[in-house]
Amino acid sequence: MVSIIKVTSVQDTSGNNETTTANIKKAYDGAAKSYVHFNGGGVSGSVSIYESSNKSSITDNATADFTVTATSAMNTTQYAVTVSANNSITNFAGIRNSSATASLTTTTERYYSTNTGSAFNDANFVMSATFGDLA
Amino acid sequence: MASIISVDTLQDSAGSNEITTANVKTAFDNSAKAWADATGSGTVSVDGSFNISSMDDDGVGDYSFNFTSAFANTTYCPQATGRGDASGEGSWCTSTRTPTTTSCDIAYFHNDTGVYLDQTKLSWSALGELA
Repeated sequence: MVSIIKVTSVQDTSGNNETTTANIKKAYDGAAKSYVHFNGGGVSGSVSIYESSNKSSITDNATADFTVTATSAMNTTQYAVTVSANNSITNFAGIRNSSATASLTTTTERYYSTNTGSAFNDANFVMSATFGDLA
Repeated sequence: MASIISVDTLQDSAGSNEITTANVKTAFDNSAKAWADATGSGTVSVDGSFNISSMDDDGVGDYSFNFTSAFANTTYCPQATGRGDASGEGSWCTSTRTPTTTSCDIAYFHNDTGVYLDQTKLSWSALGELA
């Protein structure tokens, strides 16, 4: 049986850090539902996940062309994805259009990284976060 | 002594705003552990922030944010956007050149020329685990 507590606010035993139940729900609604920091092949030639939440895998479709797969699906394809990237540790040259939303499904995101000349270029680091509702 | 309530779901007293304890944990795990709204031209300044102790001006278009509470490792997930000038001059950015658990580099470049470019305003955030 599921247990439910009805309470207006939660606070610690010292009476501090009070937050309302409504704000706890807002924190969840506004939190990223998944994120990933991965090697886009620029470091070692093969993609790999450095750190993630609710991501199961990265697919290297082609040069600078990535599909990221989530463990738990979103409830719609109308979610938000933000992406940053970097393609060099040493000279700080970066990724200009690490654009998101080229293709979204409820479980996958596909995006591309380019260099200063707008050519596809594998990134050393790609960092993305997904905001919306889980299914 | 720490007190613990074991419960599956929270609701407000009206029975609304229901959220599971599992999702409360998800909200914390996937919330930004640090973020900053900053001025990056002239004298740099942190205009709004969470878990940011200071900002360094490392050169033209090149900044570092220092954290009040450290991350658990250097594989956290930073992201950034910026604005080159008041007229909307484009820029692009990169992060994590030399990330540490207590600070993160970020740099911005001109869209067309690729040279370092100071940002009139910049936003930065990081997801991950705190130490």
